[in-house]
Amino acid sequence: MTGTRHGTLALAALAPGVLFLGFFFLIPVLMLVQISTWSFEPGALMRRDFTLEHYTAFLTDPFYLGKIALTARIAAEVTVITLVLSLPLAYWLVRARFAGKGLVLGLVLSPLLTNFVVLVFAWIVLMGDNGAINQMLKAIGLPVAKLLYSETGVVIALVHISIPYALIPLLAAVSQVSGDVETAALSLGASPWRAFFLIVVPLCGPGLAAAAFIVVSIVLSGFAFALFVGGDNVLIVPLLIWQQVSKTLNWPLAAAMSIASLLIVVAMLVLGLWIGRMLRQRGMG
Amino acid sequence: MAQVRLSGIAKTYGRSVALHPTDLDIRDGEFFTFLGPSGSGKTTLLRMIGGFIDPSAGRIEIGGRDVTGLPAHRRNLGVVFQSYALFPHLTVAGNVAFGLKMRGFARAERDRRALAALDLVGLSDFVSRFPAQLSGGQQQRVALARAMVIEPDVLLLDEPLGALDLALRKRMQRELRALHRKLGRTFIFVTHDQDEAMTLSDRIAVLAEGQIQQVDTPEVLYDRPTSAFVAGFLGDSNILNGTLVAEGFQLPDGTLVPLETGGRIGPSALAIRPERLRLAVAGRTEVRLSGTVAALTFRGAFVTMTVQTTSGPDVDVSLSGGAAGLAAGDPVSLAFDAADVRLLHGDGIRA
Repeated sequence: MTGTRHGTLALAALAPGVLFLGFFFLIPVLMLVQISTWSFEPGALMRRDFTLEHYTAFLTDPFYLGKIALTARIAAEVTVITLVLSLPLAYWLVRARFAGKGLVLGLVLSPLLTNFVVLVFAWIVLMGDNGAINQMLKAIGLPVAKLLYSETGVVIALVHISIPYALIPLLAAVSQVSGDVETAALSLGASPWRAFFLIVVPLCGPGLAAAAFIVVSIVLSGFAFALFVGGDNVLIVPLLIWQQVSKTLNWPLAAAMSIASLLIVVAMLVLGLWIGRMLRQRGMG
Repeated sequence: MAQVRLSGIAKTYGRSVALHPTDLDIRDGEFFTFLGPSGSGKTTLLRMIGGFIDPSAGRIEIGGRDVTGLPAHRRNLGVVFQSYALFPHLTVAGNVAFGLKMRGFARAERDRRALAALDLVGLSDFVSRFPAQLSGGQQQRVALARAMVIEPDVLLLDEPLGALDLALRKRMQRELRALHRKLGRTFIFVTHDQDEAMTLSDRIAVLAEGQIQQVDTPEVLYDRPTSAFVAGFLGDSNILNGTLVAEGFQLPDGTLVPLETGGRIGPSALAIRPERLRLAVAGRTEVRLSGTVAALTFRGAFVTMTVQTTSGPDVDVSLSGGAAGLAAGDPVSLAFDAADVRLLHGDGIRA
């Protein structure tokens, strides 16, 4: 009896969220699917027929394939760099005891609270041809690097914006690794480094997977960062979509690219969940 | 040879003292226990021996070697934790073989030794399980096997049985004792459970407030405690306050307990175990305490009678033959032999 009542209550509590998501997410996605099958007609925007030509173009045209490869490479680079930087940071923030730890944590998470325009402006000041980084390189006699409007610049900006998002699941993951387990590894003869790589890193596996997923999502949705820091020189897929929407006005192609990207993310999520379940079955949950 | 020698070892955190300067010798092959309530410094002491906490002062020697500045992973000690601290992502075999892997043993040798260690704790059928698939007792056996397989100079056990239920704890105590006899290694055990300490240990250091109160065998600690704290922490004790005079110890009501005082004079306290008090028999000359029965508590094998004495405090008496028809409110006369009381160093710390 109570089960049914709980069920009704749960449904009532879920209803607003479900309605909101249905209205503002599910319906637009379905509309996008529909648009992606219409053909493009310059002047008239689109014709309401049925075609898969945009998908074929996106997935076979060498130009688009090149951009997909570029996007995948940048996503992989940003993910790896972000995780390599964030895990030791998360570890240090959880394990170290010092005054002002809250302040450090606040600073690290501050990009979350920083206005997008401010971030972009900061990157331009830092990474411009005569920006702070290049002036430093010049001062110590190193060659100047092309950062702004280059792939390197885009990767740096995306890593910067990703770190706080990656840090949140990693902080949780590290704090779940008991100090005794690490101490046990030390007592068994593992140096602190080996204990970190053989014990802490594997035990943070689920947290690392969650962080990687978030970072990839940021790269695939962060067209605005790529636009201001990379411009036309670093045309990642989100930027291509934006161009099709706002410049070429080829909405059906933009819709097809969006849906294809969405499917890739969903596939990754499913894969991540599956790996997570495999790990739990091995007793790691 | 793996005796442990602590010289002037101390730990302070800012202005708070976790452990006052401590000297201690633990003999080779001994089952040695640090016994004390939480906050007594027992875990701090163990963790400093293990190398997980740096001492603020003093010197630690293991097997004649100064290890004070040596990091934990180079001390060759086995550690067993209350939380088991197994590696959840490794199998039972992987856990046990971990220390061997760190020492560079080849795979076949690792497997052989890990299996032998698991056989010793009766878990050779569980090699490919993961820790989450084992019961608490089994996990602690794996932790023991993992710590022993590296042939440590000393095995440190930090309240290893604290998370187990009573029946299992008793069984594991017997197994630990048997294991210690079989291996002949030095075991250093930490517990707050005085029964466990007395059951297992060759010698016990009783700690309170960051200081060792007394170090001795369980028998001596029980029979001849030197402080009110030890008397109260190991088993039950009645503490009687009074004054040392030339002929012995005088209770507030004037009763004299004839004792060898060693020439000391002044306020002091003595301890007597509840089972050393008895009902007085008329006509016999003995030291007596008179009072009224305050409460009777049935304990199974005996009855504990709480008596409000005329000389001050309530005392507990264990009566193995029943309460002899006495009831609360009845006047009663208790007796004891002067040989059964222990004069305490009046340092004021009570359990």
